[in-house]
Amino acid sequence: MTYIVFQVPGKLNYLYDRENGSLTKIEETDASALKGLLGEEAQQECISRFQAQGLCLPTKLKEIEHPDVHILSQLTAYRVSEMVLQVTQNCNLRCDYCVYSGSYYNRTHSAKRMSKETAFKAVDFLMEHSTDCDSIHIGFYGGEPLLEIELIKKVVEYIENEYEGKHVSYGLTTNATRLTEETADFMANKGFNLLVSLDGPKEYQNTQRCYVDGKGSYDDVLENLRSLKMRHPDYFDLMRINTVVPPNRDLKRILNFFAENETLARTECLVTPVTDVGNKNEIEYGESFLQTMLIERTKALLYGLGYLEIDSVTPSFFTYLGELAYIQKIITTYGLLPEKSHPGGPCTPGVRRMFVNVEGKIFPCERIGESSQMEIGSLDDGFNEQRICSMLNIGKLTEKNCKECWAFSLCGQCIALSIDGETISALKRLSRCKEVQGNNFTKLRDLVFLKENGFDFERFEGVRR
Amino acid sequence: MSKLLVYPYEEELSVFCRFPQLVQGYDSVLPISPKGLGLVGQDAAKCDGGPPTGQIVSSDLESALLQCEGIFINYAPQSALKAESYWKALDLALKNDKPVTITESLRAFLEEKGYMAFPDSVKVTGYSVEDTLATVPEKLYEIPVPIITVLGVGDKSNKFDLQLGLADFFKKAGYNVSLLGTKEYTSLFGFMPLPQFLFEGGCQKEKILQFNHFVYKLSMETHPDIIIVGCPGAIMPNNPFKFDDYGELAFVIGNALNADISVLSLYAMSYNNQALEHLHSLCKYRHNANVKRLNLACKRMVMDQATLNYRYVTLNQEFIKKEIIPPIPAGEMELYVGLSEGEMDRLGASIEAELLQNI
Repeated sequence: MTYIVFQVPGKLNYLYDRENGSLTKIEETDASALKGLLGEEAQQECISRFQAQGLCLPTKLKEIEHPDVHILSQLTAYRVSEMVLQVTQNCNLRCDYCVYSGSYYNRTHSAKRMSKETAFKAVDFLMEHSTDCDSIHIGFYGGEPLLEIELIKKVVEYIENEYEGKHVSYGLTTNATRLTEETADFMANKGFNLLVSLDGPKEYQNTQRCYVDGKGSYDDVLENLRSLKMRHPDYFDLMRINTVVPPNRDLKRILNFFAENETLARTECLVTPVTDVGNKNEIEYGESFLQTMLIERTKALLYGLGYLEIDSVTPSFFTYLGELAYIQKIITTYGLLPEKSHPGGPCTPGVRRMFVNVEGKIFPCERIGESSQMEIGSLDDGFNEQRICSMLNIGKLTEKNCKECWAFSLCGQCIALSIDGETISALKRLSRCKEVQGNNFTKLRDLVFLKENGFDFERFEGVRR
Repeated sequence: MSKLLVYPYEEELSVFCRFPQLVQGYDSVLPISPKGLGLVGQDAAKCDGGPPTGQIVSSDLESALLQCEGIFINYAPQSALKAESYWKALDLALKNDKPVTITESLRAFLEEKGYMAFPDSVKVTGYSVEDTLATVPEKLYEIPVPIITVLGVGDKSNKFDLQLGLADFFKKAGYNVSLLGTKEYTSLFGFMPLPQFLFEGGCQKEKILQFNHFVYKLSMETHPDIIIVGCPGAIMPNNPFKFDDYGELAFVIGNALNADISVLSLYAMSYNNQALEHLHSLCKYRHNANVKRLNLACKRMVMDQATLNYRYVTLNQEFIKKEIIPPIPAGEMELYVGLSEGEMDRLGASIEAELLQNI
């Protein structure tokens, strides 16, 4: 089915038609007819009438093919815009849900570090492949990247000395246990986008994110954040927190912690469930977690409509409004689905971002494991375009299903979600379809709800994770 | 052999390496670029997708200054070059007693940043500000010289390359060519830049009249055999998420002059019949430009799905000829890849043939 019909509060009925990306208000009887509730004849009559208006038309889509496939060699030559450097595979913490903890089809913690030569080579590689980019971004990753702060400083210095003329921004994800005053000064002076991993209340932080010897990290992290705030208050306001919420945790308690904590009350906090990508075990979240997420999203919607003050809303859920603004933009701008197209979702591996591990091998991003099947090249050999092409055209794996799916343009599934163990799997990709369709259905309903109540979408454009 | 150093070399200045024979007063060009622009050590063609030039880009400004006879410094606002870097290059050139030319944009930028002590010897090139006619009668003159207009679908569509390529062709063929170029530094190639008044505020009607009179005066005073006029910017908005060019200047120029020939430069992508017909109609009825010749620039706009921002990607001219040109249903329109070997001559010859037929 290439369209979907749904109802929002107020008994308003809408039709989303993926063929022309339209979202149209329709009469209740038509909605019932399209759903088949009034019989086949009524359904056919309604479809014919809508087709005369350019809706519910048979699909023109014949083949799944990503539009970037034909110019891939040019994109990898000129448009690589972001690089993530794995400066170390080591970490001073042993978080139980870490993707490198052994619970995932991925490497585990090791003492491997990136050499200065490899790091500089990676920078040279990026500069050579980003001629068409006015600005580039370099992220530092680990393990815990601040274990290699001296290397990070050397990389920044190398870029500043050697590569005048390019706008370069930097980012770093850290557990903040090594965020000393000197390091904080460096981060602030160079304008690093800082993402701190902190799981909320002391009890949670100290059991989930503890040092190798089992000691909790809460006190050290909070002390470092307080110091950062005092030394660089403006920079602190730009910092974000990433909170991983395992299934057995009380999300509400976590959100309350951040809202009430003197140091962190105004900090944007990203709530992240434990990823199931590459996990050796099933992860299932209970009703309580899902309900809290729903309540927070609803509060965000009400804030967006002016019914709640900003203080009533958890900052991290503003990104949901940004996601809806993004869909609204797609819906109002995308034209007809062409004969060859690809479900929305995958970025161009290596172009949107390249992840370089300590050995100089290149992967699409840090979310994907470092198995050889996921490798898309190396600093020495360059990009493996054939591998990139197959990852880019991931929809080809599930072509028949994708061609018939109403959520085609809104999909959002990238290669990371198609990995089963260490291989790319059609079945794995398909297993997520119901969840993807469900999420998009919810977003469409919320979007319509906002539209019907006069929401200003432009205000939240660009506010996304 | 006299050399002109061009700095900072990047895509905007690739015409210097493509058409060194047109650079006035110099035999060759030295492209110098800060490493951050990703071109150092590469052929100068890397930034424009055209065939190799044989010129390797260097970052060694000091050594290059010893080898050159003059230096041209452009303003590259999209780069991260600070005012100090531009000033340092200028200062170094002056210390080496080299004649320096900068663009008006660079002068304005440096002045804004507090660098104002320009010696008189520094030449500034830009759109001509003297060419505003005080009052013009409400009458459009018929320009008694064949006019070729070069339009494009947006920035980075190789319009200036086409302007210079056609000027070069007709010059070599023995014609007296006037070119009104879209770049501030057009004068470095021996031609005139467009007049400043086109870029300022004011009503379209006034600009149309002014420009018509300006070109008429030019034709009466210099008696060219042919006038080539570049139309800055785009012919229409080409980004559905960001409307920043409605084709105002193409409209003004098209309605000020009845062009005999118009060439439209497109981004290199697949076009179907419907798209080509639409573009043809738009040029004809909005811009008074009957386009029969299309050029594919070595550039494409691609959209980042995550951010919905449009970006440009350079496409190699061989790739365009092999993969993109063949399926395009051009019909009666002629298709060119201007930066490709021999294509400018082919385009020029086609235009010459048509103009000669009209005599």
